[in-house]
Amino acid sequence: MTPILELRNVSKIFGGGLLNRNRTTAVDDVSFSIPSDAPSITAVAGESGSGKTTLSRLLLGVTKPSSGEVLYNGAPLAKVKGEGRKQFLRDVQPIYQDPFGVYNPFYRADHLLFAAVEKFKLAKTEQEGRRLIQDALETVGLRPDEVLGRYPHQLSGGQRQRVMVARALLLQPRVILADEPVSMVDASLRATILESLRALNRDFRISILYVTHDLTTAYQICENIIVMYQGTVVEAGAVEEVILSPQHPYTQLLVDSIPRMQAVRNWEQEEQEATLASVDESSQQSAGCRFADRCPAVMSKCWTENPDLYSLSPHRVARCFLHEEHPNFKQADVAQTFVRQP
Amino acid sequence: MARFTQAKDANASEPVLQINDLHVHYETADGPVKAVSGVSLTLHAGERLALVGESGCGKTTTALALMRLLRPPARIVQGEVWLDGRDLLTLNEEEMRLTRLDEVSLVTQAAMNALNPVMRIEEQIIDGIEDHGYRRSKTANQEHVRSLLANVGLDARVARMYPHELSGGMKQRVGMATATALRPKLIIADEPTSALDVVVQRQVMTTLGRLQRETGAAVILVGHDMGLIAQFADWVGVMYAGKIVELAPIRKIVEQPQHPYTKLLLQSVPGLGEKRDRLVGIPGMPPRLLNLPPGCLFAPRCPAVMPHCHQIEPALLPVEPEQQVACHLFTESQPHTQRAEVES
Amino acid sequence: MTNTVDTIVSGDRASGDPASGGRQPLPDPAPVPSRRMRNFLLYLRRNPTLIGGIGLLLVIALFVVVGASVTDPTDAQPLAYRPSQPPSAEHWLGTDRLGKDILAVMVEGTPQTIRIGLIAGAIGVAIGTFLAFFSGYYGGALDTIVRSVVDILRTIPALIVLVIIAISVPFQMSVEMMALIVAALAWLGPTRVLRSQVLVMRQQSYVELARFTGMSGPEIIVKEMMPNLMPFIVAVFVSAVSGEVLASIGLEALGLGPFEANTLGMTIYWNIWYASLINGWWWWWTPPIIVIVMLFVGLFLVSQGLDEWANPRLRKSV
Repeated sequence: MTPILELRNVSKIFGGGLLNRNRTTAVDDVSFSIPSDAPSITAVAGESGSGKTTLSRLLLGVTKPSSGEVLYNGAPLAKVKGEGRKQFLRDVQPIYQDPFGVYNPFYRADHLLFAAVEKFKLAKTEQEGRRLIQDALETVGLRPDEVLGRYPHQLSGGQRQRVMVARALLLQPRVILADEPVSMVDASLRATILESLRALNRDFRISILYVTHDLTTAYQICENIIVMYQGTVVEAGAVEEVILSPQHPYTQLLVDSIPRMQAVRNWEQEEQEATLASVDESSQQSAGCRFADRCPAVMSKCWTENPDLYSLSPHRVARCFLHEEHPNFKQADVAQTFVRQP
Repeated sequence: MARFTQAKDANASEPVLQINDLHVHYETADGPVKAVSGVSLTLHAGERLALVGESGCGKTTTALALMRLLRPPARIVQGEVWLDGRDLLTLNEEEMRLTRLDEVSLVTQAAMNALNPVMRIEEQIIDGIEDHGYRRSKTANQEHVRSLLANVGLDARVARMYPHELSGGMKQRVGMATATALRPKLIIADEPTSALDVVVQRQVMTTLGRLQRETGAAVILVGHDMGLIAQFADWVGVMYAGKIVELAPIRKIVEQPQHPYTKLLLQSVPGLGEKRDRLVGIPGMPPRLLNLPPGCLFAPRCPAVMPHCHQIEPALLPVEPEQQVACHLFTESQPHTQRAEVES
Repeated sequence: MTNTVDTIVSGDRASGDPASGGRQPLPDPAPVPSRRMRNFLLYLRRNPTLIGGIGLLLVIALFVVVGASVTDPTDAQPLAYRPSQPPSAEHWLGTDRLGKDILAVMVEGTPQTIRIGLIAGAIGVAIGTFLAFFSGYYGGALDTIVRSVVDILRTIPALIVLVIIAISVPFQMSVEMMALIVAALAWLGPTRVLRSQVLVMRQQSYVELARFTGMSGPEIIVKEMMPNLMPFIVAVFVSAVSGEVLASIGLEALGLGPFEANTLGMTIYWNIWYASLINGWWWWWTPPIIVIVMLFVGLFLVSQGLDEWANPRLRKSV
């Protein structure tokens, strides 16, 4: 079956050109797909500069690939126009990181809900539209009267982000691309918002791409995960495998760095600070593996050769020479390793 | 532990920091917003206290009030902040300026962006030192800067760099180097790593921990990430609506939280253990701190609410050794204190 | 390091955590328009620049209204009275070399000059807004062309271009014609200034979200972007008016204006033609200069004041 959204060997290079030597490869030859059946929640995880946000913006069609193809229902997204474009908007919707910037300061906060009802012709009468909006707000745990008629600055960060979830609920697209939806709200609200995202997936069968730097929440709400480092996929597969027993040294480092409540004051006992601090967020690029300069298990060939993705198990791939004995991952599309709920 | 005024410990050293009944208001057109109401704390040398709570609970305001860095419309309306024998709230501006950095210093996320872009790191740190009346030879100063940078895990080359040449984590380390330049007795760290990636966050926090051990300073860490706090703090003060509702060692907070709010706060943070069917946040919203109703401010959101919670405000009382809670669930078992509370 | 520390605090307050100041919801959703109005009036008190500018313009308006009640339009025609008379009870501002009552000339000419500015400014800002939004929003080749044309034209002294246009007009010059001529270049400034604002605004998430709500480009420009730039567009308009008044006075003083009219620029032209300065007819050249200076200062202050209102970053803190 044709996936609803697909990246085929997509790279995105920012900058460059004749005079500008500051080229950044944000996404480097990534293939990935979101199937049109079996809706699931997939995490795209990584640090800043990993290319995770660019990946979701490529899928949204707001960033054009430098090479490779972005496909929507098998057709190049850039060529989707007219009716097809309308259908695309019905199928694919974003949720942004900054829950304030999505509100036009000129309008009340409900503007984006009413605009959505109007443009997508969700209701025949204004009254019906209002009722739809109220229902959606209640479903995400907001009292309509705390939102309707207010200006965005009068809402809390959590309320603003939940209004965005309510908007997604109104539109009921088939795919939501959520870029760090909870990184700007505090921990207690995170749970509420993530739970409503999960409800969108479970109750309305919406596929969600959850772009995040937070592996804990990724583990909690996602079935599958892609871990990115400097534009490449370093490890991907089922969250249970990838997060609970990471095989790529970078994923191991990330998982290790999660502050754990259960292991009180564990960090300073381990004191790996000294070795790590010297490299800090490094930026040197080597010809080989991009992670070589930070890798605790670096080998000499890592500096010169770039490892392929290896299939460690049916539901996991990793890009590291430590796993060279495993077969190369043949299909480019990393989503092929994902677990799918029936 | 001589944390609590009630507890008597003959061997306890004098506290480094003692906050008595601190109140901070934000003056608005609609009346005062009571951001901090009646926070009292005692901190000894070398202790690390974390203040935790939702946004708007007053944790940052409390921290900034200690440094007297609040700007109008915020106003400290009442309280004492004793730092090493002096009440900071009675100092004049110049005395306070000299006290900052020298005796109490601040590490924040914003500090990363507060570096002067056209000055070398070395010059900025020396500037800060000399600003406080410490004059030494140039070489002595440079030597000092190098040792400070080494302390935070930065190469000596960083001294000659400009801020734009540094990554976020490195800037935060410079911030910590500056904050410890004069060996202050108290370091206030206000969400120092919230803009950093997890790997760097871990490094920065471990560095801060080591600095604390080496200088023996007391630290107040302000944050909302329970996991991070568990990795750093000795003590946790859980704040809600401008008050401390639970104060206990980190282990007790994590293993046997008592206040319903603390429990909910901990529950809302998922871990890597078992996968949960449902993520549960804290229901409802924090109150707007204007025209406060009587009784416990958490009552409207509390799963264990009782009728009298809406009338009588619970006081912060010890429920176990080293653990204080402000909740009527526990005042019941202590009739004496409850009566005292009602009378007051 | 104290200044470092200051920055920390202001930065932190902006980010909003400390207590309820910024982030807690305010419980007054209902009477928003009146609240906006009240806020604006409250704000005016903190913006003396805007008040001063509006005040100066009101003084000019008052002068015209009061003057109109004591003079007759026919007084401003040549040979109406004895020429070159100093101020007297009958002619409060005296008469000029052509025999016009100077008060009547000012009463007729001041609104004419302002009209030229308003027409040319409106045309300029309308074209500029249109070009800025479409080129800034859509980008691409259109944007490159607009940007290049604006940049190139701005390097040529405007007066030279206007002089060439004015001398090639084949028929009798009128006040309206004058307005259209200065409008020929009036869109350059507004286009450039507004385009940069549009480029910034285009990056906002709400503009991108509007695309995902299915809004078309023009719809996004009109409904989502323009309302937010309205205060800014008004500020640009005011400064455009002042620029076009200056351009028209320049052309008229060179003798390229409407000879039948009594605009401020033409009055200056006649002053030069009859060498009033040397002849000691001070009452003839002072009124237009005073009005012109007041007009410019007034418009400048209003434009600055509006700019501060439109650009909160320039706003002084309370």
